[in-house]
Amino acid sequence: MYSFKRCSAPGCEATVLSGSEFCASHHPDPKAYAEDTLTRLAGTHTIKNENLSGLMLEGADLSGKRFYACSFARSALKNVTFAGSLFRMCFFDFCQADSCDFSGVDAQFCSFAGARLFNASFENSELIHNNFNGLAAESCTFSFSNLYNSRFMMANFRSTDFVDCNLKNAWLIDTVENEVSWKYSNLQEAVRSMEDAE
Amino acid sequence: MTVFFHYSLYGFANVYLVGNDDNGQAFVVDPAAFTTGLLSFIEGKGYSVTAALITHNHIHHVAGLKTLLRVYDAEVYSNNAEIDGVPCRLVHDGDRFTASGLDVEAISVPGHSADSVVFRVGKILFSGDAIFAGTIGSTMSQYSHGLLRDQLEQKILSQSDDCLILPGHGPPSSVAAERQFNLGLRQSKAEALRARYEFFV
Repeated sequence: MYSFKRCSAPGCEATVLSGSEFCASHHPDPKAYAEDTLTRLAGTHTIKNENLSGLMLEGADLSGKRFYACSFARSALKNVTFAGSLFRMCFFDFCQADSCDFSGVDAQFCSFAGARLFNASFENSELIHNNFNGLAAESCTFSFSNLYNSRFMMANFRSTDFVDCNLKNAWLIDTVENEVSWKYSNLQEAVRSMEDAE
Repeated sequence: MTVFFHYSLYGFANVYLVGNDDNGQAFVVDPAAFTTGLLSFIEGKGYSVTAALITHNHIHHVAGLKTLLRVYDAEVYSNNAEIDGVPCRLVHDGDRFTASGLDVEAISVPGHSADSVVFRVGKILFSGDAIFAGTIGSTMSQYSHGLLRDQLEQKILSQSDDCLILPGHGPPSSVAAERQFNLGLRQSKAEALRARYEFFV
């Protein structure tokens, strides 16, 4: 796992960014740190134990990489591509992703709880055993993906497509849906109430 | 420290392997199954399993314990004196101990079962069946449901926002996410059972 060392700023309980003594809020130059980190990651295929929580990442190409136990929690991602990447036990909780490409990813045991996604694509992905609770997704697509055993409790979908998805044992409870397409997906195999979940 | 998860098809439970990269030792949290695949994985990483942490004594979380102990000389930590004939080191609420060279805190969270314990390692909470992403553990009565909710609110949701929750079933989460998006914490047992009750009435 990434380091759970506390930020050096007095009174701050957040964990430090990888290789730093500070969290993103207290780092003296988070923009330069983010640029340096992206440059370093560009030459790395397998990325383990990176804590990038709270950073703003823009225009990065992180496609085709393998991420293990990394955190992007509360980060702001804009025009970042993760296409074809593999994620295991990675955390995107409460992140804001604008126009990001997660198409063709293989994500298992990850959390996107409370994330806000706008114009994001998860098409053709393996999204097994993931936490999307509290997700707010607008103009997104999860089409042609396997969502087996993933949870979307209290999620809010607007203009979002789930065409031809595997929804077996996907938890879609207390969701708010506007202009959502479930065409060709096995919605009847999804878990839609707490009674079914028990 | 490195944490690996293994999805056990037996009971669809999560098994965790926590490796201490400084000394090559590791412990397993809830050996729901101990398969040749998991054994090969541990051996491939070069770890020696020296401890097993049991969040609660339900078969879907301990079925692989005896097999694990045939392979590794591991100490078993649990809120039970013994599990299926295997003697355990008894842990109580607030106990701190070292497993495989890593500091662990036991947090008693009864409700799903009387012996339910959450193990905290740094900012990771191995929550067993006490709390999951979006729900809480099933209970047998309104009393135990209320007890579980109280214990979770006092001891788990009071942890810092960025504490990670690695449950016995389902995907991972964080304390911040569960504070906001856990339907089980919002629902009383009576509400949870109302639909079933009305069906029969």
